[in-house]
Amino acid sequence: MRKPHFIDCLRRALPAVPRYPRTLLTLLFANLVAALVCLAPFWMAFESYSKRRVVGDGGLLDPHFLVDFLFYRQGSWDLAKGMLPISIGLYALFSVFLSGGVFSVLFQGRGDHAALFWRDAGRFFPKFVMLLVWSIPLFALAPLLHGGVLLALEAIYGPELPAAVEFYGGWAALALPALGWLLYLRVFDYARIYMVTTGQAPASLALYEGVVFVGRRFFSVVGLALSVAVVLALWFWLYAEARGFLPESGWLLILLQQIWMLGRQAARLWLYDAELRLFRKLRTRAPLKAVGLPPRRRLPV
Amino acid sequence: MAFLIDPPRSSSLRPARRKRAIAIALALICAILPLSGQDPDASPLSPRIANYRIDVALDAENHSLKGRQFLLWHNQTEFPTSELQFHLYMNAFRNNLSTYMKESGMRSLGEDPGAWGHIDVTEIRVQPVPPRVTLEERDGLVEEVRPVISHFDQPPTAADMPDVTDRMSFIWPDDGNVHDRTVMRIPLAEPLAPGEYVWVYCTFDLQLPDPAHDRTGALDDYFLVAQWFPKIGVFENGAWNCHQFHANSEFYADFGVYEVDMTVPAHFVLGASGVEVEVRHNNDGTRTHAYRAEDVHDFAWTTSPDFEVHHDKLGDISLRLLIQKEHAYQAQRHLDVVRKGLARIQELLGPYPYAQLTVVDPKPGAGATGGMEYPTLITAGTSYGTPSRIRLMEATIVHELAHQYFYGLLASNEFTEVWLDEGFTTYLECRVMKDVYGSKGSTIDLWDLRVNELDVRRRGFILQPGGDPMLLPVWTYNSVRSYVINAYNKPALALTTLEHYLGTEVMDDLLRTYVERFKFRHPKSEDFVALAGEVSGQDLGWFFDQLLHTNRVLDYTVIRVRSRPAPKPAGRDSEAVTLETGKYTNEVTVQRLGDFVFPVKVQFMYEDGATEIEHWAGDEPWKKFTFDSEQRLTAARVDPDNQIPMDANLVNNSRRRLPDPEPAEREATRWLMRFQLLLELFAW
Ligand SMILES: [Zn+2]
Repeated sequence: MRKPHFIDCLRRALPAVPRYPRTLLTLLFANLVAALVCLAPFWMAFESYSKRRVVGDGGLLDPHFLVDFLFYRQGSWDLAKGMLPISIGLYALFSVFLSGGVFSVLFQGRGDHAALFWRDAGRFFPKFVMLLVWSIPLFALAPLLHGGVLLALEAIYGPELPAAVEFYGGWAALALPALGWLLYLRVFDYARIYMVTTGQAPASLALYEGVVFVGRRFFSVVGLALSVAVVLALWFWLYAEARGFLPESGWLLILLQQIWMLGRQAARLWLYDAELRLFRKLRTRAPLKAVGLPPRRRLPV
Repeated sequence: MAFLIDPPRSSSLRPARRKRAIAIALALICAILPLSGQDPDASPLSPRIANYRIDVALDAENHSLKGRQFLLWHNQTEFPTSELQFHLYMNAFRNNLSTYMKESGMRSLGEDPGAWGHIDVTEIRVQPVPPRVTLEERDGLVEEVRPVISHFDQPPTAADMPDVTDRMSFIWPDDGNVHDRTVMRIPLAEPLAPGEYVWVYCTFDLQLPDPAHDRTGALDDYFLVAQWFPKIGVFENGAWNCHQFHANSEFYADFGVYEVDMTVPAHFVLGASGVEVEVRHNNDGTRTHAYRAEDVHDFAWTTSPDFEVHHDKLGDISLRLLIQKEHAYQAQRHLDVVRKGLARIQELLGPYPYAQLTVVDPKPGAGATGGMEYPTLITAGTSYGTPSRIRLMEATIVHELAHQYFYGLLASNEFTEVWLDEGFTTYLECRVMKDVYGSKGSTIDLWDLRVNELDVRRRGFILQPGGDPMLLPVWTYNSVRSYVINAYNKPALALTTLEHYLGTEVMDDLLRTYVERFKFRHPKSEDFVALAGEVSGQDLGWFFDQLLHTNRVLDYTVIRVRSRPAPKPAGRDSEAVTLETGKYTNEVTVQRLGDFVFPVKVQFMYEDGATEIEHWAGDEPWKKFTFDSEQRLTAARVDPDNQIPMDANLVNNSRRRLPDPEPAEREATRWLMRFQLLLELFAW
């Protein structure tokens, strides 16, 4: 039996990852800084509460204190919660910005290249944002999927769903859009890969190409992503095991967390590189240089 | 199966003040020797004042019931009464003019007439029974003679009893709302003297609200039939205690025997207070379930074709679980908590005196019938897929189990002293949840989030710690929130505080004695307060006065911690002085922020980890502790062992001399990783 394409791509992509240490660190650093930005207001809320207090062994989340903390420090808690979506949104945009650089250096395949990285990060950012804008109709599918599942269940079981059906159906209605989301992330990856590999392309076409590729090569695409996810899950399990040996807090724990996160970013690079390879290998049509008809040849007068 | 009233007994009294002695003796005898149980030799557990025989048939299609009822009521007070008063609770749902609807702020129960509930008493007949007890004086002793025995199971022929239907009227003792029909009054032709019995016969038509409201009603073919029959009030101190149905209030009734025949479609499963004594198959596709409940003060039942029945045992107590088929996979989980919870409650409060306990899992969508206590029957409530570490159903069951004592056995007035029911129950719920499921996350135990039942109660309490005095008629609290706080949360925290103050052993002794002494009676707050003083050997009036009759808030704080190197002797005539002081001079100021006075411990913490405890009566607005020490003081806190959960603000209980960023850093470390993981979900 022939080995699936994605395995080959994964195998070839893996040794490539160590050639991008600076790219890796950039991704890690972005994540860390963003996490600190998210954390800061919570940290301040904790500190304003705890620095003059005697806090028990249970820490701030000792339910005995948590109740009072959440009530008497509601203002700072609400502020921290309110800032969280903003920080996350900014980070999501920034990570889209970085992805332009990442795909470019991976496409070139010659290891870290800072100038290329930052130039292409900037160059592709507006295009990628346009890609997101073009994706809005796809996002609209999520609530439709959710409602569709519920409607289908009602059609089968009548308006009063048995509890088990309601429970699992409810989960299915949540899971389906979530799966859709994961699939969309693949479309987004391949659309970006299309843009980077072809140099220029309008967002709508790239999105179309992404959808077509994911649709045609569904099993390879999903198999590849799933393999990386499994490795990542194993990596997380290792981290969780190791965590048990460390104290509840302190530098060692932070170090361990960052090692885990470095692994997570390496997996991201691995995924991107393998996806690039898969795309180049399996795309049947040659990438279009431009949209529409080939350039018109000037006729001799 | 006959059971007898007034088995022959005798008693004696000293020959002083004859007339009064006779009256008192009569009252005493009546209180001690009421209706007997099935075993004529065994003395009944309760005074058996209100005894019902009810025949009721359910029309499952229309959610209506038709009933006829004989009540044998015994005036065991020293006062005559010229009237009888009955609760017609179901009329709370009759229209939106009822006191219940007005207080609850509901404008309507719906367009559909079936959404409303009501009870119509269609016929009433009353016939006093001559007293069976005579007292004769012989040789200077008063002796009771009980020659005639009356049969509860042989009520008079209804048609022979005088018809008083047209003399029935509605009254509104609480708020004068003339549209409220939840209290019915029947004048008697002749006053009923102390010691006398009266038979009351009535027929009634009942409509259950669908969906259910306030623990009663229907949902499709599920029925929880509670607060349903014309129920006599409590005659005490020469007056009727028969309140209207209020939005927040529960009930108050006398003990007695219930024999209830319920006719329902043959394929319906039925559960009720008491035990089933007989099932009769009728020709019309129905079945009649005959139940008997002794020494209880209410009777509720449920029926539905969707129940799955599970049985279990705890000692001699048979446990019967009626669970919805779709929740059947949680049957063991229900029975586990019933067994563990009831076992622990019996350890704390004494034996559960009934043969059976029925647990009902309400139909999804009829959550309004969940989480309710009736004698020997409780309703729980779960939903499909609830993780086993989220123990809301368990907490509900433990709560309702505790009610079998604080409500079931100790039938306090829930209208006016609700803390004796809900408060004690909630306190016990917190304790038993902790004992059964551990003190770290008894109710919710998910990863880092561990919530105890007492924390849940504290969360409610601190929203309004000083709203109302605890002891108010329930419909006079300033809001629903205040009702919930003063009925449930605050008493639970106060009793936990008292437990820590007295010591668990003394508290257990107090609770057990309270149950032992007042079971099958109507204890009042002052009874418990007096008993607390008696058992603990100390006057606790200062505590209960503040708690029950004022809205004072308990809150102590440390406002200042200072520690400076002690100055060396300096100046004129100081050279030869060697002071016997330590190296540091310390100052700690503790303040009472609230107006509730409670003694507190103050803990001083030193640099080397050593601690010291001082006691403060807490009665002054503030107290300054000035002392010297070898080690430098780092912090001080009041209530260092968290023994006063009634303290409205725990955030301010301690103070460090210098700020310590470490706890926040420790927490931040944990949260950093959480945020890093969270962000990765958005790293595209
Ligand atoms: Zn309760």
